[in-house]
Amino acid sequence: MSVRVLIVDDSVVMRRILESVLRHSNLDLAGVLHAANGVEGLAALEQSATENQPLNLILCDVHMPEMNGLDFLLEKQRRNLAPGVPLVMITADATDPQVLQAVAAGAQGYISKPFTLERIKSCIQSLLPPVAPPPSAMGGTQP
Amino acid sequence: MMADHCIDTRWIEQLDGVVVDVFNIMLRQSCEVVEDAAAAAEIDIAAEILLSGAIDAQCLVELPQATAKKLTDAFLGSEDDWEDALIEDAIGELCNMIAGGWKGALGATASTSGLSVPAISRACAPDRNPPNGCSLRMRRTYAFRNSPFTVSLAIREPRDIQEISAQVHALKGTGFSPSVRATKSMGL
Repeated sequence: MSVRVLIVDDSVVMRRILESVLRHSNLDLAGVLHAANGVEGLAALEQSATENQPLNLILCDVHMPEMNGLDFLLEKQRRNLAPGVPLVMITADATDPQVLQAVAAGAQGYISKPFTLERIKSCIQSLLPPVAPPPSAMGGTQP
Repeated sequence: MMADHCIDTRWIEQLDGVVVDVFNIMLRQSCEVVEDAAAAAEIDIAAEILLSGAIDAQCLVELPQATAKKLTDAFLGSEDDWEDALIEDAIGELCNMIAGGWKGALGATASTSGLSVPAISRACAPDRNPPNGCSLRMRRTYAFRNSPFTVSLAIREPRDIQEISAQVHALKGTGFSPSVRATKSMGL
């Protein structure tokens, strides 16, 4: 199954790091969308729905200008955008009450910065199906 | 290292631990404390994050341009002639992780304080002074890949600590004089 991921973060550097991890996570990655804040994130969700290109995962920063991660999550739910798509918060401040509020509101969890690549991979792989290994790797017989 | 007033040594150790962790975990780079504060005399770019709430504080990361460029290389995993905006973004992320980690290390006392988004300034920017009332200050110099940078913290004592100090001063008039310094450990 090919997957599409939305990264919502005001830091270009962090979006690049997260995309790089995604591309090294044994996923059949069909696309990575970038948004710099919650407002842009909502627009990306609406566009995905309009184009009938559903997303499979959302990674979202907590602290952002314009619209923060918690407000993005709540507005996404109010508009019923990307229902059922797992959303993981990314934060440098794990003690921020907004993180727990986001989890209570439906976020699948959060990842604290600094993070290891393995931490992100582990989280992503627990939420998304891995790429099916080629038949030879499965030890199966050719039809 | 510069530290004035009654900075608790645990704060310094916590800050050192947070900075080293950010480099080890996120960048897979080693980072050391530099005792020679003059090593980072040159400052071209700075990122500032304010902590406000139960504890008010300022976290300031200052770097020479060369260090900022190497830091961006490390974040993005390659060497390039990065645009200034991308370098500033990387410095902001570094400051964000240091401020967030330090806040977490403070424990429950700081949990209700909020962090601002990073503000970036260049060498001649005038507005890098700590907020009013920040009486506790420390400045540490670090280096990675032989490139120095500094992290400064300015902290306003929580109101309850100020009130305790005021009570202690009042008690002094009655002949009772416990150590004011002991009240400034903030229970950390």
